[in-house]
Amino acid sequence: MTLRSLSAALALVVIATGPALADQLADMTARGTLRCGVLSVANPFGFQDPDTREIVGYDVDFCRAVAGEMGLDAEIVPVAVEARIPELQLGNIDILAAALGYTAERAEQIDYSDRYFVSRQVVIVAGDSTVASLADLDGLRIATNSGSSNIDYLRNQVPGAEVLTYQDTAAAFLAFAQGRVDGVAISELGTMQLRQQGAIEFRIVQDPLRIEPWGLGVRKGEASLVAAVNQAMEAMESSGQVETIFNTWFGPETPFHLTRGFTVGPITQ
Amino acid sequence: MHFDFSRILQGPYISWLLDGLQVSLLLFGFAWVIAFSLAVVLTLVRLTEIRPLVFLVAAYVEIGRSVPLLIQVFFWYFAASSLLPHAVDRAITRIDPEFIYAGIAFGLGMAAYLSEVLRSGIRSIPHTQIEAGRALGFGWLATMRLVVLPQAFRATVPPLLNYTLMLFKNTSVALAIGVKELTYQTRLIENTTFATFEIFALTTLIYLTGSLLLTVTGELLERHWNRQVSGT
Repeated sequence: MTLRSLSAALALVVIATGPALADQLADMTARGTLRCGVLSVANPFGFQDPDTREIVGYDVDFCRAVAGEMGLDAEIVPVAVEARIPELQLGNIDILAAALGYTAERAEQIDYSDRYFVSRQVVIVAGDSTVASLADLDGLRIATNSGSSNIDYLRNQVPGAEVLTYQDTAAAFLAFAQGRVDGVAISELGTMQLRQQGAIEFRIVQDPLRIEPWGLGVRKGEASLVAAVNQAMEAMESSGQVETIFNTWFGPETPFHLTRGFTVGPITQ
Repeated sequence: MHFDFSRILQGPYISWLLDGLQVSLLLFGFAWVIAFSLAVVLTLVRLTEIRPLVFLVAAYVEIGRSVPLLIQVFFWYFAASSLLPHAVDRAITRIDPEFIYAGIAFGLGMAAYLSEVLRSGIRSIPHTQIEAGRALGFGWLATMRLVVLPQAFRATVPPLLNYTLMLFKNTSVALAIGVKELTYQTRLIENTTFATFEIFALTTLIYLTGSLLLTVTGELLERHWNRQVSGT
């Protein structure tokens, strides 16, 4: 009797803690929604529109379009940088459209869709600095914000540099402006935003730290979901939707004046 | 979900974590020494009953307890550093500005709490004890040293331990300005490997062990002093 209740309890525990066996794509189809985890403090990818109080941005539009292509309603769920992976793994969100740079090591924990954005990561230094190339950063103090993949790139490309991460990009810039650090690792878009503010005098080190492909994050082992998302993205590419979304946020009528230098396709590195 | 510790147990990650633990412990020790020394001074000043001084100490304690720790850290690192003489700030910048300013912020902030603990400990000793001391022919200082302070100190051990534990855990706030302490390293490893649950579980265990060691030390100290009392 005791033994039986014990084994029943054990079975319960196993059921409760075992991996979810259901297929996520089937769940989503039954539910009719695609839950997109997005950042809420990363302008222009996922941020709060000051007028409408809604989360908007490139990541948000992209995820909405993927949902539309899959015949689902998008549900936008803001996630914190630290919580994004647990949210995905616990199944609170279906996909992560959260400025997620691809690295091989990260890809051991989650699956990535095809690339939907490519970011050029650079290092900025003071306007009067003598740094000419990444190699000159050896022995210098370089800041970046926590949760950034730049930490890895710096460590690999410039092992001699001391990397400091701050709460957010604003704190990293402040440290840079006060001369506490010699440079900041940042996306090229970030440098454009910084240039517009015009508060800090800086120069971009010519060779990029990394050309970083971004993918949508999917929980490990959901092959059918990855395939469906990739298929939706391909359809968006050929219908011109990707181009439209890109131009909305980065095109000629935005402060960035960018033309798209990538197409949707498999991440190959 | 399932745990797979093998990913963080191989590679450089454990040594990153231990580096972080070392920084956390150093920061904790550095801040605690500042906090305790300053708290003793503040308490003594308050005991003098010289009005303007007592008022200043009270104001310091209020501010120290009311301003969030994170803001105090930002203040010291970004703002106060520019108020310091340039040569001093330069010197600190050359050594390790993140660590030093974080330690100062924690130490000064925690001193406000500790001085209150010490003060209430002294106030818990009935005034008759002082009178008894004086009646036996001890001077004021000797009365304090031999009668009041030993008793007051014992009374303050439990709350002192409380705040010491708080300080130990609060050192993690320093990650906001890039101090490579335990939680900073944890987030770095999380960010590199995405093995979120595993690495946070491991770090929790480390903090728990540290806190338990502090608690046990406090208990032993208390017991030691109690035995001394019953022995004499």
